[in-house]
Amino acid sequence: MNNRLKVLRAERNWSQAELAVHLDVSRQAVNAIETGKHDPSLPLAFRISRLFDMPIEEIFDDGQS
Amino acid sequence: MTANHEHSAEPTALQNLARWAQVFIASLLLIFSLGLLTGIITAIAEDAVVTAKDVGLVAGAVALIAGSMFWLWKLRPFTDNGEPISERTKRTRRYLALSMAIGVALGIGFSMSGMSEGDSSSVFSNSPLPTMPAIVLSVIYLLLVPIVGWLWHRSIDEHEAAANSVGALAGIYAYSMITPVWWVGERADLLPPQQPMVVFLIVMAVWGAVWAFKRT
Repeated sequence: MNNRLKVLRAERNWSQAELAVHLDVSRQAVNAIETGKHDPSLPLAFRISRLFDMPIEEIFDDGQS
Repeated sequence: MTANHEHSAEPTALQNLARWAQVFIASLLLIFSLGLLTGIITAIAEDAVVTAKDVGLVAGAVALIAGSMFWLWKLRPFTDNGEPISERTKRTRRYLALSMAIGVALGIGFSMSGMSEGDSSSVFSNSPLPTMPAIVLSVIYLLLVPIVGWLWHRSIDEHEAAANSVGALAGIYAYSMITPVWWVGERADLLPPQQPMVVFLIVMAVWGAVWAFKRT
């Protein structure tokens, strides 16, 4: 699944580790989501959505819309 | 909280595998050298005489222990370069450190109980062990592994859990292939008698390798 996490993170000038702290996950998890190796669960997707104050579908794209 | 630094490049899957292989070898070296030191000290105590050769052997064993510990420290995965770490990650690391400490303590106990039977190679053999240490070590293992495992599984994030699950699945597949094939091979006189600990180590190695690969 494609996502804009890296762009959104860069806009805030956050490192992967800093985003990981905000989401309470490991840096490896952030890296895996950014590179599309791991699709986040719904609870984590909602945390990301709330953190960036954006709807989930504006952050993640399953290629169907 | 802001920073203008991008995280350095992630290690490749191959680099990660190589690091875990080194961790495995360094851990074995540490357990072996601890057992060696125990054996030397036991022999010195039995002889009640300390020779220059004994001092040299003790110094050599201590150097091996120090070297393997330094090697493990150099291989530690916790190099954050001053980056912040989430509370969950800190918890996970504490449980990982706890499980490693328990593993080392059990390894030392296992080595010492093997030494008391007079067999310095018992750690890596099927030679007899004294009954009481075997019961004590087994009970500690059976009690601590589920508790620490439960705590660790509660603390890891979903990416780590997913990587661990794929590794576990690969381990189960490895077990389901190795065990019957070895059993059939043994009955046909093609393979030596089945060694449960060899199967265990292969399964753990497959689990760990796939886990390390998936978590990168």
